[in-house]
Amino acid sequence: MRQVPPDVRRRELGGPDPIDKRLGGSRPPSPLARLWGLLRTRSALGLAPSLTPAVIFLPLGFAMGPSVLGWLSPALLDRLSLAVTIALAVLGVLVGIALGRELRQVRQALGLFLAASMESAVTTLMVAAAALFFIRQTGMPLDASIVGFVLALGLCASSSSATSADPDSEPAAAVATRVADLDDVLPIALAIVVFALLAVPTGASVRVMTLAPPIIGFAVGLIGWLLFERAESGPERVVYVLGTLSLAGGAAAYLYVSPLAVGLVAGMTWTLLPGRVDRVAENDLRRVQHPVVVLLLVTAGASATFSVAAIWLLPPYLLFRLAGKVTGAWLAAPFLDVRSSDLAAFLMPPGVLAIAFALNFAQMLPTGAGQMLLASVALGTAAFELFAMFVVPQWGAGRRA
Amino acid sequence: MRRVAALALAVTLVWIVVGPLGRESGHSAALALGIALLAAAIVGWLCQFVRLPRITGYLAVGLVCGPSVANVITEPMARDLEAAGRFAVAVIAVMAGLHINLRDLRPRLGMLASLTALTFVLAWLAFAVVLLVAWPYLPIAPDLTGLQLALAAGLMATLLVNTSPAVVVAVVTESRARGPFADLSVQVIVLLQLLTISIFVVLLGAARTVFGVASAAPAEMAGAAAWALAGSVAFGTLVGGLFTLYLRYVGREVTVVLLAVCLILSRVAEPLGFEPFLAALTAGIVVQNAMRQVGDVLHDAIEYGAMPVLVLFFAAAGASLQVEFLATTGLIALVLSGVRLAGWRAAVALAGRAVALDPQRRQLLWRALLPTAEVTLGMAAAVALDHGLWGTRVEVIIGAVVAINQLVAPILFRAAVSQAGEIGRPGGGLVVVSNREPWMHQRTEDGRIEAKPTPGGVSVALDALMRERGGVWIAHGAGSADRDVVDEHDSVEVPPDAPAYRLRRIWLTEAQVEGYYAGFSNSGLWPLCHQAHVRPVFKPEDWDMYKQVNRIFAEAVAQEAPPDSSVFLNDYHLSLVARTLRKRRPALRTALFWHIPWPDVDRLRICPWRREILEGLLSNDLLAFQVPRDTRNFLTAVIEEIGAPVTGNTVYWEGHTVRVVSIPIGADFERISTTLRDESMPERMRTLALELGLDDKIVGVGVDRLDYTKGIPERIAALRRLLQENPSLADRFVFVQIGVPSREDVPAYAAISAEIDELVAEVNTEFGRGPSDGPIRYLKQTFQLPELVALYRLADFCIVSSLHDGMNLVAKEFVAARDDLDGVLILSELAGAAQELPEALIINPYDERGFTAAIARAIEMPAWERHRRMRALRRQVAGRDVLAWASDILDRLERRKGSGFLSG
Repeated sequence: MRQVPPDVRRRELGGPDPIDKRLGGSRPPSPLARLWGLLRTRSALGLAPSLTPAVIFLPLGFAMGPSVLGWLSPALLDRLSLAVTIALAVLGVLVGIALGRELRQVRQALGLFLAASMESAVTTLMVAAAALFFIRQTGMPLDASIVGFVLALGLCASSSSATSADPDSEPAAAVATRVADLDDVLPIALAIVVFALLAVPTGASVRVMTLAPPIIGFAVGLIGWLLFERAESGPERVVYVLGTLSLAGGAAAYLYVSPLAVGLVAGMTWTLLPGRVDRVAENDLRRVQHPVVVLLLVTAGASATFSVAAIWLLPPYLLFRLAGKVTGAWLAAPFLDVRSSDLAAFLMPPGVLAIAFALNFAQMLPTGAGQMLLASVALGTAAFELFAMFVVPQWGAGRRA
Repeated sequence: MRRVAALALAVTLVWIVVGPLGRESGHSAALALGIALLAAAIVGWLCQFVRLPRITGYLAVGLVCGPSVANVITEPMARDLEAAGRFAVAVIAVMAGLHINLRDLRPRLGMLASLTALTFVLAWLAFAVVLLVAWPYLPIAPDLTGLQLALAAGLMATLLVNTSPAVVVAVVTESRARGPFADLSVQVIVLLQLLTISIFVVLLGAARTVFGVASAAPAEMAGAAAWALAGSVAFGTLVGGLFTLYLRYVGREVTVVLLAVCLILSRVAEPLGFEPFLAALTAGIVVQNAMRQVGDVLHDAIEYGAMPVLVLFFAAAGASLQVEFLATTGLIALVLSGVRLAGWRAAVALAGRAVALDPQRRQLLWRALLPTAEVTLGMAAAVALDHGLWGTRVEVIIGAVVAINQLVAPILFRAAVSQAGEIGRPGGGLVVVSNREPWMHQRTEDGRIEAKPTPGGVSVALDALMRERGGVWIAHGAGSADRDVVDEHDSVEVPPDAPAYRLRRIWLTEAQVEGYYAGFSNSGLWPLCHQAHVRPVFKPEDWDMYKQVNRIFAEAVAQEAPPDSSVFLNDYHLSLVARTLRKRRPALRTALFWHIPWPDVDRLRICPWRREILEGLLSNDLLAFQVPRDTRNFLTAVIEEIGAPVTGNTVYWEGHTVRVVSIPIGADFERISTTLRDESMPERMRTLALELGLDDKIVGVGVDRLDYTKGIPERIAALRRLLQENPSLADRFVFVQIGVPSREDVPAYAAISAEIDELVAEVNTEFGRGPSDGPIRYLKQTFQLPELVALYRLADFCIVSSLHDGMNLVAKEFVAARDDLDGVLILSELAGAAQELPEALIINPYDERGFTAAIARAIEMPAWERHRRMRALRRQVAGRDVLAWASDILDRLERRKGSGFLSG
């Protein structure tokens, strides 16, 4: 059977004008125009595949931060922690809504969820073990619990976004996209335990630290469920959504637990409770999705201090994340009916969630360890996004041809 | 009840987090923000039931939850909120500035300036005299004498004179007040604020010299004061100018940029020695006046940004109210509040008489001057900073006065706005105008009268909205018994079982229906707007009839619409109604939804009366199309044919602004979901499958009005090619084509109907057993929703192959009916729906090979891909159903009914 020409859809989505294509031979764009094209908002915000947001906004944040231009002063970054906390809750909610929707079709999703969790668990363990070995061997000074720190690093490494995959292109890409959605769930859940581990030295109750996120998330979910659909107008609903998410992030920040986990539970609650509250929330959150991504990346870039220790930690992070993803994909692929190499390729980009994890842990860890973790993950994320952008399409295409 | 439950849950959660579980060092800012927003918004909502302003609720929540009372919002949390409050002041000041339209004000500027100056002078003098007389008895500094006493009293009088634009703007915004009193209140209060700040800066400088606080010379002090005032204005002008340029040339993410501008104004002005309120106010004035159309672009941004900011600001103000001051200086504060009230009342009465102010406004205006808040406290803090002991005492007394006024003044001002009759009934005054009526009364064969609802998603959605909000629906009465059931005003209450709104019927003669409906609308505009190669027919007599009927509708609206109504005009039959209405009832706000595509400008030029139609449409306040492509085409036509200035999506036309937006219509998702859940659905599907012989077959479906725009011949050609290429399919493939007869009196429709009959017969003869017994089951009839949903569920794929279509709801209805996540949608890229549903198999109906390949692909598509695509499609369709569409349009129109600065 004949396939529908692929450019039928592309035209509708604003691809190149067919007449321009036919005329061809136009002058190549100047380097400035090319740069401008790369920096277009669409690309920068990840709406077009040419450039992922992390590659733009992490360096931009670093340039604006205290280490270079100083536009984002430490005092201002401290003020931004309020917005970062809420942004983390927003990301958690988005993951929670995606998970909740999968749970609705629990039979179909269970295998996928288990495979995704296995993949992320393998990556977490490999990166954590490698970091533990490396820190122990080198005697790298660390002002935090070493187990908590390496687990935090592993969890940051486990995140994937499949941004290089076009879900419509082939079955493996579609599966990878769903795996990338679901492999964030286990890390967010494990982060609750890591937070508790990190909090032990401060005298916090482990039980409180472990139970608080689901309970707060559920309570916030209930509050949203009671309110969102009752709003009489758009602005009133915005107040409710903003208030509820601030409550989620705020309660988490006050108790030093993970806003991502609180948001995850709230998002799942909205999806699983009757009504359309998940769609209402998602619609409103879509408006702030891009500012949230930009905020997190710029803040991470500005907050990161690239110490010698952070640079030293980077090679094992890169190497063992790569190994973890390949091994995880190899183990998970048989359950998903896709080639492991394709799955691994699509899962390479860490996406904004890796940065979100890093920011979240950095808020919790002592300054030195937090800075080291944030810097390593920021560099690692940018490196993997570049790797995915330039290498993965060729690699995947070559193997699948 | 749900809101109250949510509030209880939120307060309990915060109490547990802060109390038993909390740690002293916890970060509190986000938590404070969350509880303040939620609790204040809910209590504010409750306040409107007892006719109190919402902001009283916001303040009360801040006060009760704050450190002074329940301590749910703790001292550090209140400090965090105060920081957010400074940002909110900048937002409110920008909003107030947007209210100052210098062009409109010019004729009244002299009167306003005189009224404000006179009121200020009289009130200030009255307060100063009272303070001078009472000074020895006040617990401030009884031993002051001479110039020191005069300056201290003068400073305190200035603090008492100071008012709160924030409160006035907030009350006007949240009550959606609109009218001359609301406008006057905001204008006077803004001018008064400017005057007060200026006098305060001068007096504070003088006091520093006289009391020996500063070593600087008087000239330096004056210079500093001038720097503060002029610098603020210059800084505000710069920021406002840059923001205007941004709006003019970029105009994207306006809410975020607006909030960023306010952040800059609140954070940068103070370190530079400027007055943030004055700078932000100036910025607002610059934006409003530098380019008038641009002010309107801020509409949505302000509407969405304003409410959270107001809630936050007043909750923060409530939390920081120092009620303990009342315990020590309550009596004095109460007396001073009384003096203030009497002073303002007398000053407004005298000044109002002097400038010949309208008596009603003269009686009410003083209430707008009572509120006093944040800025006053800031000024009092500045006095305390300079003048140690007596300054601190002044601050305590003023704090108590502010506390009293915060609780009382908004209530009094809202009552004044209400007394002026400028507060609209929330959700009231809705008028819907359409050609087709929502309920039709028909006489049955046995002589009974039966009321039937009009089928169709749009009618059902608007009917649901009218049931909820009440109002009047004006439509052409076309039922055989319509005249028998109306009262003397040609009206009938509907729905018949539970009357909720009034249906006003318009009677048209046959000649009028022929000329306006069958003629100009369906033989002229319809083919003009749909590029389906049917020549539009424009007859002058049809045009005359179209104009005449539009005038009849407009007259009916003018008669029926209550003051301040929102009028919703439905579709292309009514393009001229708004023009007449603007002349007859200029205060009404109208929105028109154009359901069909808008042609490109070259094609539009076919219509001899295009300019009249464009002018008619531009007389609306809001004009909505299905997809951005139509909006773009319309704006291009406006520029080329009318030459009106266009900024972003706003057209400036004959002294008002028109917002042109795309609001895609959705399917009635909930109704289809309910139909699917009906117990009889499985049986209905079995029966239908049996009747149509669908068992064990690959089933395709097409549901269309018999219209030349629907691409039915092209569809049949593709099906024929598919069967030719795959002869084995003939025995196991059925395509069910529903053709709903439509506009049969129009020749082009009769022709397409005959052509389809012929094509179906040919295909069935070629691949089946005869003209009506082959792979195409052609049913020329109307299907009721349950049968339609059952058919959709039976189908493996659905084809929508429009040659040109505004949206096409069949595509969305098919998706809504597939809760099993199965089925493939084949959708024409020339239908508006294709822009919203990219996960469908997109085809070009003119490309027969591609079309055939898409059908083959749909048949062979693996289950995982069908499910993935359908899941994505359903997410889109469920998120934007027909009720959301109707509410969206009316919400946007309602937003344009706010006070002057919101209505542009």
